[in-house]
Amino acid sequence: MTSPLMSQTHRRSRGVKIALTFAVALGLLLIFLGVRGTQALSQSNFDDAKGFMLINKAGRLAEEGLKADKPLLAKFDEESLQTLSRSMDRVLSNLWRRVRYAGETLSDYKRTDIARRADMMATLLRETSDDDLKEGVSRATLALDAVILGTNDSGVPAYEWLILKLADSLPQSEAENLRASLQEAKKSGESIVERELKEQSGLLFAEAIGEKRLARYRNGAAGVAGVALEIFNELHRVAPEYNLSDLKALLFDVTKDEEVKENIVNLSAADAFAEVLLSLTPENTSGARLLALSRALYESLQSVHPDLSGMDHNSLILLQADALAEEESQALLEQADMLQDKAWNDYLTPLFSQALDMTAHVSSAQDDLMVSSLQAFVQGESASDIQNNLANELIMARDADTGRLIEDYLAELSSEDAWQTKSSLIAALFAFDAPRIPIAVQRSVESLPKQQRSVLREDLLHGIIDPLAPLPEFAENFLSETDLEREEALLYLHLLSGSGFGKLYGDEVGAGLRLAIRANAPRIRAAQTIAAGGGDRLTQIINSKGKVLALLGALLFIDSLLLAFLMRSSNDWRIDMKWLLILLIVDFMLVFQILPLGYMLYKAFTPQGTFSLQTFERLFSYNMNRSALVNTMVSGLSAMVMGTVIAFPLAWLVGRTNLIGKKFFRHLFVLTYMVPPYVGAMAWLRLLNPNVGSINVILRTLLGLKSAVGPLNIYSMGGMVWVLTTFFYPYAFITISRAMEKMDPSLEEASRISGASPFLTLLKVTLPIMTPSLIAGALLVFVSAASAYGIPSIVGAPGRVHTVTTRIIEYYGRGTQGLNDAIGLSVFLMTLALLILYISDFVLAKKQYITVSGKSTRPNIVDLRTWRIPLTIIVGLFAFLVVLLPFATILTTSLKIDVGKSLMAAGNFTLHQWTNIFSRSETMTSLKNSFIYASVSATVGILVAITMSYLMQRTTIRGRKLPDFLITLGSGSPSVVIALGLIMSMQGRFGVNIYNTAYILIVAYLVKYMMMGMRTVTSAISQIHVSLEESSQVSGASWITTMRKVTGPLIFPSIAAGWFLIFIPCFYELAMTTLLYSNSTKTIGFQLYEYWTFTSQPQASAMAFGILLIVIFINLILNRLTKGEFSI
Amino acid sequence: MSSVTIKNVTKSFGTSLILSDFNEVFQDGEFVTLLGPSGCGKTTMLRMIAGFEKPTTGEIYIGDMLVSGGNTFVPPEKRGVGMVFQSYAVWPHMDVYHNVAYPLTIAKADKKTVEDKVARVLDIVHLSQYAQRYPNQLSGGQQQRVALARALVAEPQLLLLDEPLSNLDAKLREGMRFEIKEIQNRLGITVVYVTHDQTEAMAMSDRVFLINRGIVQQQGSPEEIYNQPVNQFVADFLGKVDFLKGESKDGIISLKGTNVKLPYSGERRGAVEVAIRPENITMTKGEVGIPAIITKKYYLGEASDYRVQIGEVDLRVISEGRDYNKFNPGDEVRLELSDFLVFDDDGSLKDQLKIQT
Repeated sequence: MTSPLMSQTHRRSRGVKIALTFAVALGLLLIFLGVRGTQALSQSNFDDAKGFMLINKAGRLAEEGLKADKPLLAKFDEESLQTLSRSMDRVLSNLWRRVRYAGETLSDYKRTDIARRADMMATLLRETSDDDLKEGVSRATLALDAVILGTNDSGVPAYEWLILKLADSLPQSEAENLRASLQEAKKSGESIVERELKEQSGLLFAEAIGEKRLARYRNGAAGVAGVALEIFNELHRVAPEYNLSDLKALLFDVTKDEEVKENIVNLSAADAFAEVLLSLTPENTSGARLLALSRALYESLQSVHPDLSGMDHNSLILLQADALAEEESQALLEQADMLQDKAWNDYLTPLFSQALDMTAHVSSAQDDLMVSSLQAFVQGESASDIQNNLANELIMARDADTGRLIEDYLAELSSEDAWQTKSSLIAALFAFDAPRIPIAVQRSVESLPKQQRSVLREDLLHGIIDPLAPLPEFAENFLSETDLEREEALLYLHLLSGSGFGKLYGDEVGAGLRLAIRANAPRIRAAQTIAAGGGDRLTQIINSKGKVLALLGALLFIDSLLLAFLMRSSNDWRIDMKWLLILLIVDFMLVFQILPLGYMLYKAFTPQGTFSLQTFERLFSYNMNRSALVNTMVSGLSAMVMGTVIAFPLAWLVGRTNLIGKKFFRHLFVLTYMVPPYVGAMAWLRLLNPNVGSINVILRTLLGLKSAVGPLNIYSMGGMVWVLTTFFYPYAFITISRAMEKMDPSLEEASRISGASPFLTLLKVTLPIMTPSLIAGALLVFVSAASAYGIPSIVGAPGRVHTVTTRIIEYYGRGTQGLNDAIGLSVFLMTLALLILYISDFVLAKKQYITVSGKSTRPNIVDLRTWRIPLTIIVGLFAFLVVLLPFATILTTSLKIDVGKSLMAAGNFTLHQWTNIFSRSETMTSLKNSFIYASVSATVGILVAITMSYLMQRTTIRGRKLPDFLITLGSGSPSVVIALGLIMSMQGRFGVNIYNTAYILIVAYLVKYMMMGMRTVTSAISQIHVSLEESSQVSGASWITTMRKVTGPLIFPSIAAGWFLIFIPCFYELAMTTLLYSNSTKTIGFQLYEYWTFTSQPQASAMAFGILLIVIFINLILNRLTKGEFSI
Repeated sequence: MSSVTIKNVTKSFGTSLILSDFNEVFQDGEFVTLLGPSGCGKTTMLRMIAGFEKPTTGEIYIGDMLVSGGNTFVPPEKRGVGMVFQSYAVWPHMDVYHNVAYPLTIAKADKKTVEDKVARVLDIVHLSQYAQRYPNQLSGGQQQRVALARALVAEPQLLLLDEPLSNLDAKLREGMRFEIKEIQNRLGITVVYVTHDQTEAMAMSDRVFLINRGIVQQQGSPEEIYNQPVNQFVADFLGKVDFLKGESKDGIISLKGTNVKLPYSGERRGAVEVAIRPENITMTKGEVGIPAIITKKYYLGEASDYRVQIGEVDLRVISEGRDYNKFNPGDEVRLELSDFLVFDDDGSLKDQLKIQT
């Protein structure tokens, strides 16, 4: 027999189960509808979803303003309404056409420049549905291009190609005859053409050698030397007796080598020439004189070779081309080719004309656009005129197409709401045209009182229906002023007077409308679906919001399943508020973290739409990718090793010995953790720049080196590894310090009392027990170094050391292939990071010997005795080198005028850079942006952290670890990868479009940095024994009051600390911002990066130091708030 | 030689004085316990002997060797003592064998010697079959024995133990007590033992040093300090006691608030405090003795705990468990005192009994 309580529980759980099943079904339904809607949308050829939504919006807005017309219309009889309808049809067609083709009528086509015209032609060709016309026009265009250029795409002389094409339209026998004639002509023409060519190439060469300045020669004078030598040899060959003595003087000037000059004084001219020309090197030659000499030689050659035809200029041209710089060489060779083709074209002209005649006579040739175009050209019509005619044909065809579609659509609007649809559509399209209505008219309509306006509307309506009826004066005036067609103008006024505002829509909607409408040709179907009245509201929504629906459906589906699973496994079928909280966070992470990454992974395997491993192959086969991979691994591993090797002894010295000033050092080392890495990179650039770096200068003086470069070069792998190490070793330092603190000191004491010296204890006890933490710290350094962007891009890239992150960002802008490469690299980096995360958090965590001592004894301090002072000095030097020196450098650089000179040099000190930077409005805007975005991220993040920590520590609810897992995943993902994923998936592909807004930045920051708040809050809550809260509750306080009076105050310092821990990295973040920023959402980190790259170093340094000050200041507040007990 | 001599040792951390003027000698082969409430300085003293702390002033000798004092300081690894820590400090990354062998390995003993000595000491602590196990596979008591074995393997002359049993449960604690004592007897080493548990101290020690707030209150054998406490603190710390105020005059002490007059042959006169241990009171339903009324009773299993009222004064009586049902609250009974202690009432009682951490 079941008790009443049990059956109530039973009933409730049954209710919940039913609700969940329903939710799952609903989710599936939404997915189905969403997908269907998206498909319907794409089938309508309306592929711009945003434009779609805008027209929808515009239509609905218009609808609001037009509701007044219904009662008005009721007053008119059927016939009048039909007249109105017809007028509206006319207006609609005109408007549509104007809107659709704004800027693309024939006259517009003629007015645009040549480059744009090609684009327009291409668009027109694409949009035409008349395939024959399409074919004809493209052939004609090709042919014309061929004739103009003289050659077709594959380098065959134009006329040859044209003759063959023309032959294609001839009947069999005639075609064969033609082709045979062509062959013959080619054979017989060879010698003629060659002769022709020789002459022309000679002219070309003379031109080349005369005109090209020395600068355009590759290797400067050496290039010319080769040519000069060749000319000289040729001269010598044809006229060995030729007297070069008058050129000898020129010869003297050519070489700077004194010894050679001496030698040739007594030689014969010929020998002297030979001697000098052979001795030339880039350094000892006067290039300009050599050029003059070459020219003189050539002239001499010409004088003995008056007909030039005996000489093969081709080889000279080739030599010349060889010696020239890339571009010039190309141009020269192209010209040589063109000459060749022209020669052939000239020779084949008669045959071509013949072919053209023959084709023209063949009956169907009149239809062939190509033939008629060529004919027109040959007869003297200009090429551009012919192109215009072609364009005209296309435009007319397109208009006819559209006209037909519009007619079809209008015919379909026969339902009761046809009027509504038409007027909303007209209103929407008018909005696009709004600027055409004189402001004065708009204003005066606006200023009419309401009653007068409705009278005006009626009058205007009459005016549209009955063209002969008199109109209000106001309307007549307007009609006389405007060049709009009458119906259009009246309808517009009618709409204006009803809507009550001058502009129907804001600028943004209007512009978007314009764009949207323009981007799609056969849109009527889409307009039908959306612009109110064509379909019912529900279909509208489904079609236009298909993607969002599908996304919501998927989330609902997943959530319901998850809830069902959780409830089932804890056998508690009640809706618990906590689960909803968990689901909220899980959903956020699903949409903004898992979805982007999943999509990116999907794209990695389907770069061109079908499954392929090409992306991954390119990772290793494509040199740029492979070198990036190698560099990343090498730099990451090196930084890891160096960083750990530095961090461990430091942690030991600072945590376990009596080093002087350990507290100070500890704070100092942790400080680097709070500084933007790119600031450090900039500092090190100033210090280790191979030419003017301060350290290099000092080293050179100390070591007495003569060179002006080095000895250390920051722009190298070594330099990059050094900076990476100095910035990421604190991660290992902190991990190791923490573990050391947690270690039971009696473990070491036991070793000491067993006879082991402090050093031996370190080796045999401390180190082995610390090993898991060491590895965890090392891995952290590795993953941070491998995922870093700021440092590699500032230090590595100029030295051509590219890493995966810099390549990803570089590739992103480079089109499809570039994007695919970026995706491949991202997947690689992501896998690496996840692997390490797994090892570190799941494998190692189990092995960590967490040995917390029962009593809070102080750790046994090792007395360094004689080593105390030397070690302190070493550590101090290290701290100075790694922490203080870079910061000081930035400060000094920011105060200089001339970066190259010392700060102490006279007149080099200035505050100008500072005032410059901080008085700029864009700096202030970026600063403001950074503060806002970081604050929002920190606030949301800390709220999530509090919720999560509380759930994890104080409840036993199942599934509470899931959000924590997702959040950890997010923090372990490389920044660049997160950003790339978001870009790819948040532009509307899955229904959410936050691209180019501040939201996408905030979302990215949250995904990456939410974790930072978790640890502090979690540890704070875990240290408050639950009995503190329980005793409050037992005393009668509600849960909220307990939070407010007991828990809250106790964890407040940690909350504040956590808030700042999220705030600071978000504040100066660079990598994600580089990909996700838009002009209105620039942050201070990105701004700084821009300044460094494009503006002056001192200014950038001022900004960098400013950022530094802000961060330090915030850190101080943090310290104060947590009463110094908080250690990072 | 393994006596421990402590001369005029004081210890301060900053401005707070932890130990003042400790001056004692622990004899060779003695089992000495430093006993006292938390924060009294006993652990600090032990750590100074071990070499983990340095005395602020004074000297410490182990045997004849000066280990701390003046300009000399011998580091812990060179003192040749064994130590067992409260948290066992057994190294998790080594198995039992290697944990125990560690001191010998450090001293670079040869393999055979190591094996022999380790086997012997593991046998002593009854852990021979666990040599290959790792600490996380052992219970608390077993880990503690590993720590003990490790401390003994190098055959030190001095063994220091810092509250080694306080992390174990009651039953285990009792067992281990005897084992440790047994081992000490067998090996004859000097032991300095620190604890706050007076039962432990009494059961195991040859001598007990009772320390409060850095000052040795009394030192002596367990019976001495239990039966002849020199002040109220000592009387109160060891065992149970009730303090009653009284007036001593002409061989009689009259207890305030009652009609009780106790014969007294001691020297104190005037205001006194009488300390009565519950086990020294016999309670009967007879005619002889001090009349009293039972106010409460508690059943302790092996004994019964009663609160009785004499006049205005409350006393505690402990009696046999099987008599529990004989006496009930409200009953009139008679009490006989077999023994009591007398101290001067100088108003310092409250202060002495105040708990300080």
